[in-house]
Amino acid sequence: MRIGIFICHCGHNIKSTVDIEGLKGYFKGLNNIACVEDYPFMCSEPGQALIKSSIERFGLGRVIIAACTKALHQDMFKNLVRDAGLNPFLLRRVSIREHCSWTGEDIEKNTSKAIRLIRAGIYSSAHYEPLEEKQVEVNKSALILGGGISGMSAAAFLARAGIEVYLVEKEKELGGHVRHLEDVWPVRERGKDIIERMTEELKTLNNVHIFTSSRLVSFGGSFGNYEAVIENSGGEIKVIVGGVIVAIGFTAFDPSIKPELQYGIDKRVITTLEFEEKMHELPIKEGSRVAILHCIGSRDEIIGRPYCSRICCINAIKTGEAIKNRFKDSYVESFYMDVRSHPRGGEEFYEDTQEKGLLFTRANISEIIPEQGGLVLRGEDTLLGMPFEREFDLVVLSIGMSPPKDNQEIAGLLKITLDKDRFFLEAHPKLRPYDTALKGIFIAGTCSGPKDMEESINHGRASAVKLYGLLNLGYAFIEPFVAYVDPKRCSGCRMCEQACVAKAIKFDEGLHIVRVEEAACMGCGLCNATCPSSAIALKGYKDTIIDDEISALTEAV
Amino acid sequence: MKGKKLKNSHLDSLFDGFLKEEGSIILGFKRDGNAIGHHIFKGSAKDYSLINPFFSANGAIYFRRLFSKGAKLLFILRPCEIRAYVELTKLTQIEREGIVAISVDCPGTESEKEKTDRASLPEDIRDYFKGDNKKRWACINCREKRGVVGDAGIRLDRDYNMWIIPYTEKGERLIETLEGELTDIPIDMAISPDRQTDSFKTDMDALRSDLKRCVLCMNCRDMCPVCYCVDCVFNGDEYLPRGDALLNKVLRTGSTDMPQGKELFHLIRMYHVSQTCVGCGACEEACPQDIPLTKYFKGISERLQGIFSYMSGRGFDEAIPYTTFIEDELKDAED
Repeated sequence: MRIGIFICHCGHNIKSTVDIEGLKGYFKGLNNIACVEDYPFMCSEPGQALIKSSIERFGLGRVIIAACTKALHQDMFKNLVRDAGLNPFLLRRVSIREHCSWTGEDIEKNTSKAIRLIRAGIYSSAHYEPLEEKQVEVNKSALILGGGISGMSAAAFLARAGIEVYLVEKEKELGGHVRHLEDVWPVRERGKDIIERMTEELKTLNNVHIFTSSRLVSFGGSFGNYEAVIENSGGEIKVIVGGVIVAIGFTAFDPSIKPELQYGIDKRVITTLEFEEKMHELPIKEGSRVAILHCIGSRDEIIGRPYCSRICCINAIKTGEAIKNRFKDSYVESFYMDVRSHPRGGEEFYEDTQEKGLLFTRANISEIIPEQGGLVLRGEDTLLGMPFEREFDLVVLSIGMSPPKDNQEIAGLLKITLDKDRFFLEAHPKLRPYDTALKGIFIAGTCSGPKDMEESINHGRASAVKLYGLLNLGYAFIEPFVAYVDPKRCSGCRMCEQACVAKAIKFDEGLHIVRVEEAACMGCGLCNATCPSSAIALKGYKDTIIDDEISALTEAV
Repeated sequence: MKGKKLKNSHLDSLFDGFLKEEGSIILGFKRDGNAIGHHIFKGSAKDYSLINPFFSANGAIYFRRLFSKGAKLLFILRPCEIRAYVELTKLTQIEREGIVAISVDCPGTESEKEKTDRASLPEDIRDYFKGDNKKRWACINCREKRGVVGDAGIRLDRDYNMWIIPYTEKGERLIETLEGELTDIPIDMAISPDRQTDSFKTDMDALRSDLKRCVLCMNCRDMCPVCYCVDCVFNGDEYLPRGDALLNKVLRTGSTDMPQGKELFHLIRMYHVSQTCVGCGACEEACPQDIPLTKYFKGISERLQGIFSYMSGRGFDEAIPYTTFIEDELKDAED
């Protein structure tokens, strides 16, 4: 085997704290090393040319590039190796910048670590095999779960882009929570009007299939060819879709689990959602005293909701403003922890309402005591540090968002992880905020945590764009790092079948062994760890590769 | 619980009736003079014995990868053997179709390795329960000597009357063919569920010195009824390098004991069988070095199974903890 090592200086990034000449000297002395080269920037054109010409000149069988992390330039280096006539899966990247030179100033220690890291690359890449990416056909269709504002936005984008859309909503009508809002801030429109405009648009598109009063009952398959069964009063409908967007929204917090607030017991205690619906029927008039309580069902560790729901401050301010607008001489007091008027324009709105006479008091409300004349709020003014009791005619609770009711069921069907607050967990909070563990399944809107309308719409559209990017070509390449079964070793005990998250392992009754459906396999390696016979392994990550890599890292230099 | 009182003549007619059918066989024990051992009966069950007071191997090792293909099989074995059979069915190494498994109350066994004088083997199995012979450690500390596993059980009451008790539909169908009515079985039986066990204590020094004697013959693996892999990872040289590979490894990592990797062998085997181990002690029986393997395998696996409220071989429907994932389990192991 002929191995080529290419060490990058990355300007001064690596060179200043790693002894490059020392590295070169060490590796030149090892067996099977055909060449050891270094260059200030391997990613530059001359650097690339050096790698390419060395592969051709020495007839290299393995290429080891010791430079930055694999997360950078990987596709470029893969293509380079491929152009030079070598299978790109025989390339090994070793990170001696993020994992080594940037971690400390000690040249001796860094050089020793760089040697171990590169040596691990040599030992493991010796076991590499040429692999090919596989092409699978992809259905240009999408399933959208949840016909709220986020799901509808995603549906509209995908449908206009030419994707067949199946929009599933469990309620009788589309629109989710937004449909019930009387006054959407800051556009000052009725939620119903916004929803109906969007519904009309969806209805003009002939590739949108809307299923209301419907539920997803079963789900299987793999990216490009997911099989979903939708159930409604008309029976079961099976659809094949390329991908899925989950936008099942949230459940409004139910304040009755906090009995000290008297919600559900005294009719004079209502939520912001109820206020929106029956604003004009409320028993208030000029001179009425109204209290608005922030953070109900948010930032509350005791009831297991430590998060901020993000929308309730604006809702509380909006409620106060609506009362003040109708009854100029009413007394409206907001009791807050912090005012977090998140969206653009929120801060100005907060200022404006204060000028209109809305009072804000930083307080902890411990209980509401119903009396004949009114409701007595007992609490502590946290700025003055003084306890108080004040009487009101009406109390509006600004309620937060709770995880959607169906989260367990949907998470189970689609293999989505739940976070500690029981919302859906994205693959990465910064870099992959819409992705889930399975390819082509995205989450959108408030099911992955509290969001306001604008964010939910953006989230829906962003997921739609991500999904469109995957479906658009009509085919996809799947990574070759999938599990494979050694039929001679497999005992057919089916342990791996139980461990497989992607349901990619199928039992062959006739041969009494298991086999892997490559298109469905995510390459997570759970089956690998479960198999007692080591009959199942990941291509490119065989046990021997990992064993040798570990021993190379632990051996003395 | 209901069962039928059993006479020896009943069993004879049951076995003869069963074996008359084409493709029917019985797996049990055969007595040959003073020797008793596993035997497969075809045509006639002459000289069968319900009890084998000597342990050489766990009978379930003969069933691994048994896919009956229409044949009818009757197993009449010890509880530990039937429990291993149940575990193997869960791992799809045996197809339950066509098999009826009967466990028989076990008085405990002596090791075949001990050269006991067998001149006086009792004629009647009841006498085994009365005698005070030298039992194996595994049997003294046995978790389940009662014939309460499998499709049916043959049990003895305090007066040493035999009872046959069905546990599954298959067992019921077999017992239907016997004469007599199902009646309530006595509450007190010859073998009670109580057991006294040496509690297992972790002692790494003892483990290390015990394993020092290992010669890696792998007999323990080969005779283990629940070690079912068709090709063991230790058959290759991935874990046990030889020749040049060993030389390279020693040059790279430093000196090593010989044979190399024996601790790893036992630990990996422990990891593989600990949830299905029935504590029969076949491994120790097979060990030429007399390493007290039962102590470790039985002790650790019973503790592990206890964490999951699982007992290997207790029921066909109880899933092996490895193969299930319950989100809220093992809370006490978190910290």
